[in-house]
Amino acid sequence: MTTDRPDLVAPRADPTAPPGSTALLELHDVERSYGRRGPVLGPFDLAVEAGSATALVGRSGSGKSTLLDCAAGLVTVTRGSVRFQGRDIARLPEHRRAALRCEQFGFVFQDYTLIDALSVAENIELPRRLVRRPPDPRRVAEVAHSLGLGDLLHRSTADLSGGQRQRVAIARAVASDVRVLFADEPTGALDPITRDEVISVLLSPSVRASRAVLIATHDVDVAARTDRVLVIDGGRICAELLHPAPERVLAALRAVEVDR
Amino acid sequence: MTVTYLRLAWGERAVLAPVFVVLLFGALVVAALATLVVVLGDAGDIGSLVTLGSIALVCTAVVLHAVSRHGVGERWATARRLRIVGMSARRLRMLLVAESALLALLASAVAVLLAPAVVLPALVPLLVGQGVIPPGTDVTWRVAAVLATVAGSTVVAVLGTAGAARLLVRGDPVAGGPPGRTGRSRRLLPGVVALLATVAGAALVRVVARTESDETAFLLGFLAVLCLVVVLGCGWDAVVRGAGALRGRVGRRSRSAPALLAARWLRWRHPSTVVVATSIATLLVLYLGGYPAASDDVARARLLEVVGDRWVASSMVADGAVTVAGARGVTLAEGQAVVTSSNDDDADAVRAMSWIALVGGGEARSWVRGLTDAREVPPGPGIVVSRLGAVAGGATVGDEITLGVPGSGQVRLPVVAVADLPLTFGDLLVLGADVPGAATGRVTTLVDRHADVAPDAEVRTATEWVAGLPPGKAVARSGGGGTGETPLLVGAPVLLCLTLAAAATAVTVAGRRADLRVLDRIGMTRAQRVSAVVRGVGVDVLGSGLVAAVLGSGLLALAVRPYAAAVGRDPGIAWVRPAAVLVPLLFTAVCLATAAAVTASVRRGR
Repeated sequence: MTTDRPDLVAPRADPTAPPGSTALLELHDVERSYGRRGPVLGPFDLAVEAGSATALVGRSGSGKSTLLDCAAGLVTVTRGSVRFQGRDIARLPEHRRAALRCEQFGFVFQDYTLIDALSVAENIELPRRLVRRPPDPRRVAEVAHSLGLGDLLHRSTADLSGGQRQRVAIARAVASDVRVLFADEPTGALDPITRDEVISVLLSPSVRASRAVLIATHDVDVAARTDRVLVIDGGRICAELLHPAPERVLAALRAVEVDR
Repeated sequence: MTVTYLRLAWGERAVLAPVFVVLLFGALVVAALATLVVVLGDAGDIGSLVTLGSIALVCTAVVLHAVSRHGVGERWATARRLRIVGMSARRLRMLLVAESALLALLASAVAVLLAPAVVLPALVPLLVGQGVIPPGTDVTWRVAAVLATVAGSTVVAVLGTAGAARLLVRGDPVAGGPPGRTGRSRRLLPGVVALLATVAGAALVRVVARTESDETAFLLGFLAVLCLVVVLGCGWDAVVRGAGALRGRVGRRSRSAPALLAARWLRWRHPSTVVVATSIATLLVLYLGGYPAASDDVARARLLEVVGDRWVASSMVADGAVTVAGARGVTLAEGQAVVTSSNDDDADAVRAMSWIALVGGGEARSWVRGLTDAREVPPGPGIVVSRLGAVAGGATVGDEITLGVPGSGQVRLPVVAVADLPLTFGDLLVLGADVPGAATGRVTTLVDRHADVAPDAEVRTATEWVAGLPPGKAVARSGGGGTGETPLLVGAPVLLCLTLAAAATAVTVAGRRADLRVLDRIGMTRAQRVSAVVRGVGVDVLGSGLVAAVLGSGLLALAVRPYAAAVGRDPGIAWVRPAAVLVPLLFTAVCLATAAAVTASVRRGR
């Protein structure tokens, strides 16, 4: 889909990283269908490079979460390829994809994706344990301290506030040195102050250093703090905004609504 | 990672605790039975124990398998999170299976300790009293029984978990909802199984309705019962949905929040294990317990008919000086003899002693004639066989039967009539002849007048005499098949299935913790939450129980029909009413109490 409205930047045919750079994650001609229904997502192309932060915005049901799930290997694509550092993860066997999620991908979802039976420290070091690496308490403490969780390491995550739980999820990703951080409505259940705290942490230079961050959000303010905003509608990327202001993101969303 | 997973499993203890209780109970059953079988293995005849044990083991296996599956299925939310953060499907499956095996091993260990100390001392006197095991049997701890307990419990639990774990991790980590509640294939398979079971059950019912053999009817009826269990287990979901849709169209839908939640939970968190347990218990109680009771009922009714308004005198004649000829009325002298029919091909077969009755007296022939279709009973000595024996053994009028007592000679007599009579007095009646050495001394005399009775005899009216017969003795002199063990045949499945139903209810309610906490937060009172849960559970348990009771009663009436026809009565299943109502009510009470207790124990959390 393209648009002739002056306030929107039409998506590039292949919205990859700038020429010459090597994309960390590349989705090519990706499509996802359920049963005999037509595709609920795609086809589309997308490239994400290290150090970048990309926001996916759109109406509820537009396909943001499905796109995120496809990119993270949580959902297998029906068509196309999802390449991480050149490897097509859609073709990997399930256990290799699981290992990839463990070592290279981090998740900050609205429902926190934490195991309430475990403590904060155990949740943070869970990916290391999953790949049978010895726990690194010093690293866990260091990351937890940097995210303001230093005093909560031995508390159950069930006892934490929403903002604290999201920070634990971020800490888990940072402590594991993942390369791509997937966040699906990470601030959806948070108050404005906590939301700012969580986004500040999520998009901080220390977290973004050598990592790519991909955020699906409804919040135009959150989207405006990223480098690039992709407007999703009907499972496709309709528009792309680079370093947009919140007003431009909102306008883009409204434009898509008018074009429907 | 193992320690982490153990911590994680401990966090899921609300789901795992009922699973462990069921595993422990199942292991106790296996341990007790295995010990008895090992101890009595060399004793020869352990037929009753094998029957009881088979029923108990099947129920136990169903219990363990179903609850293991159920327990895994309720943990899909945790499984989803673990897979998102990078646990592979294979590893998650292996951990779930290992966890189940560990639980089963723990349960087996406890059961092995508890069985000889608690269960067997309580069970053995009961089994001795029922004649299942001989008195004085020394039941102690045996290595083979321990191995059987550990292996049996663990294998069944692991199989149940492995199947459920495979379903749990099937597909993408974030795709779909809880296993077994979505997906066409999951709806298709139970439908196909239910269809096959329905076809098989209908074919079996058709054969049962046409057969003349009471034994064939019972056995095929039992197979039809198993088909009914499968049909109810697979098809109950559809029944509930259909009933809900019908009610929505024609009836007034309750607007209350508990009613709404109960309806939704029935749809999404359908406790099929509870339905299966209730169906199994109700059908087994009605059929296995009901058949001996129904045949006893029919036999007593027939005895009242054939004795009529006569008096019944019972006496013991010393020294075997039994004479049946010449007296007034009808004299039936109890005896035992080896019976060989001219139809028997195997002359070398070892034959057991059968109960017979030597019949004489002034009214003997007219009494026997009243039991048969024949207008006259030929004069002279002869044998009257029951229609039950005639159908089973193929004996007809004109065949010859040899009766003998080892060391006392033999008598060869023709079959002169086929009588519609239960085997109360023995397998056959010997009319106008003596069998040397056969008489035991017990004599029953039917007389019209009280004055005709010998002074030392115990005299009762026909009604009193029939009422005084021990359970099963109206069906056969040797005791009705399975009648002595009826309390165990009925009790064991009910107890096992009750445990299953209670545990499955606890597991399924534990799976609703998140919903219950949310409801608590939004202001639903504890009473309303309990009401919502028990409504859903109640519909399943009471509904499926009553449907099983109605279907089981119909099947029982069909299965009893050949026996009733053979003894000349219409089948009566009046006794079914209390049992048919009591079993579903018992299940409903236990499941609702469990549901209420577990619901009330769910505390508010974040």
